[in-house]
Amino acid sequence: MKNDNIKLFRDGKRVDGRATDDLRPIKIEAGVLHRADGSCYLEWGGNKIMVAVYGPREAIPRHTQNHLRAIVNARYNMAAFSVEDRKRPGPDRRSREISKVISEALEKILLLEKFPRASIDVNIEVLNAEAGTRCAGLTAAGVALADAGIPMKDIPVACAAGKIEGQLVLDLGKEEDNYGDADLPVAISPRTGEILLLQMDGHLTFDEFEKALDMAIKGCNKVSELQKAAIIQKYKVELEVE
Amino acid sequence: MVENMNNNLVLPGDKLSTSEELMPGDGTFEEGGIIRAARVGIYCIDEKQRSATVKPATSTPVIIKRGDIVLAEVRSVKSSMVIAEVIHVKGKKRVISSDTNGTLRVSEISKSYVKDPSTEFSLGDIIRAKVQQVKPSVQLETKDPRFGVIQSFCSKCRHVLTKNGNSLECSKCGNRERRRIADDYGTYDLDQL
Repeated sequence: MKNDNIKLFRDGKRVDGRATDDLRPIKIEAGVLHRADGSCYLEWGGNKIMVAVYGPREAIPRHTQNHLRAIVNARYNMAAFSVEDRKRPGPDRRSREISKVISEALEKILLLEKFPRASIDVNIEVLNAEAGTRCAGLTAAGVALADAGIPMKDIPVACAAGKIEGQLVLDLGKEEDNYGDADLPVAISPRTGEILLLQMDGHLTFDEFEKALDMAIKGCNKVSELQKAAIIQKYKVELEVE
Repeated sequence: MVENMNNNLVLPGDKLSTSEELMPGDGTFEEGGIIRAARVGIYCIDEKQRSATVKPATSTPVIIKRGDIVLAEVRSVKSSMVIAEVIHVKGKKRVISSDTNGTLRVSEISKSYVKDPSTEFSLGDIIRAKVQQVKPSVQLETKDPRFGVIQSFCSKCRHVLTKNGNSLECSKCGNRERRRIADDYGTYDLDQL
């Protein structure tokens, strides 16, 4: 999807004024929903995402149960008003794919053996979308799961890198995603560096791929600090009240 | 004897100790000989068990434990036992994450002799009981006067039964029924459960 009329770089800066390895501004808040077992609200640039975690609870329908461990049901959903033209509500090919890859990423870091036959439901609602919603959704899901007290090995985090006008950049914005050459969303376990999710849209050479992956992992580590700060901020206050 | 290490919060994945030193306790896991936190909370050492634990700062999933006081709904009444689904653990706000299929044997219903459980419980009754055993299956007990039915329905018209002396009466059809009722039948406060 090349468009020569749009310039993604101006005086060495990107359209929104960022340098190549800058993230968009991120705001994370844990435990925002009263009725959910765990929740998180996240703003990442123009993305606004609410995640609610329920469970572990008995998996329904019963044939989905695994008698050795819990199953993870992540549900990624875009609100009809989340994009400029109204999005037709309900699951589509894209959101089902994202739900699946996020579920599988989360399964890797949760200690599921403690809850046989249960399901952990992670509802990711995209209220406002502006490129990189799957990374933002997974990042918020990590905070919401920690807020739910579900035993896990690490707080998962995601960030994307990509290529625009032949140059590698971190965390693509909306125009960059639409008119850029490649997008590489990566989710990792920040403590071990284990990759939980890796997708690629567009083309990168092998060298570019390695550099982009490196860049995305560095971005993940930055976001991870923000996640931890959000959790500490929420529970430090509660401990002081005690 | 649980020693509080310091008041700093630990996050999932943080290193707490090594497996040479301590056992991995509640809210921790072991990976490559290192004990790490599995949830957000405060790191404590249980001196008695010599185990590392994380006292949770968040709410945590509800697991039924021995000695818990629970509410259960009667699902079937057999000749030697009652099967009840545990629906709530006293003092907990979240749904139950572990197995909820409870059994209540005849001998555990009352202090006195019970010949047939169907004279004490009926389908749909909400009972308060104590958990006697969790593994391999959840076993309940209702011997204490606090335990027993806290809400019951008329077997003829399914209307809620009200307490009348020692037995229960249906205010709609006048049907009288017998149950192993808890001492606070009909007066329980749902907020205190």
